[in-house]
Amino acid sequence: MTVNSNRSTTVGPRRRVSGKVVEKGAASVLVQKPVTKHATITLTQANSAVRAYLAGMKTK
Amino acid sequence: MAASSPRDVFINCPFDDDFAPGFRALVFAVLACGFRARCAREMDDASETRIDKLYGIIEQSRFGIHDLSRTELDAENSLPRFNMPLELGLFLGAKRFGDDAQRKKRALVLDVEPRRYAKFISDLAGMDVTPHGGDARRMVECTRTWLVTVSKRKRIPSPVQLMGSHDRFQTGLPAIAHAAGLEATTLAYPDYERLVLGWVKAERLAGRLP
Repeated sequence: MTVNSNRSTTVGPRRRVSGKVVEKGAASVLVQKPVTKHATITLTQANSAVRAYLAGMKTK
Repeated sequence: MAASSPRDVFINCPFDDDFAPGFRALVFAVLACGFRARCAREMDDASETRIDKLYGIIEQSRFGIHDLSRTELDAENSLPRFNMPLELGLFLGAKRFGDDAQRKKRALVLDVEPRRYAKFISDLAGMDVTPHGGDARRMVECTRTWLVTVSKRKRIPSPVQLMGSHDRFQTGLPAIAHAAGLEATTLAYPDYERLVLGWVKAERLAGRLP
């Protein structure tokens, strides 16, 4: 199995993740996930983004 | 078995790009109606197998939305995808064989056409399957109607309120995501969930959602 590092691939029938392909079976591809977790925004940041968008709407 | 939460709605649907508008519509409808969206995409624990994670989510969810519209063969390997029917089966099994809390489970089964399921999952004969025609807005309407019916909650937006809020949010999503330093076309599920929650909070403060 050729190892391609850090490419996006399909795991099982319906999930796409980024990671390192470590083994390929008949029905699925096993992926070793990156060590660092995907950083996500906080609810406060989301609230701020929505407020900024709505404030922009009001000034148009 | 742990008690299921009357706030939790398990969303069992395709996660491919073609169904992305539908998935986003379902999540929006659930959150805007005051419930908590639960799905396989919330999971990021490498120490637990995928099926164990699904067991946990299904066990904890009083309600479940199951979309069976993805029945065609996968272009890559010419095989159908069985995850959605499997997870529907787990949900129905928990309801059938679980304790009193699990027996309170309620399911919404969606498909593109009303009686198409009989051709590929005939054991569901006699169940009400709600057609959405592949229309994301229709999925919002179906979800709202079903949640009103099964939850008996009074603080659920009217169809006009919900559809208006949904349409405004989806229109503004690229700009909202940009304001949060994100790209709307590649949003991770937790990011999308938080943007919807922020939007719903703003809509409630403005009196546009109950």
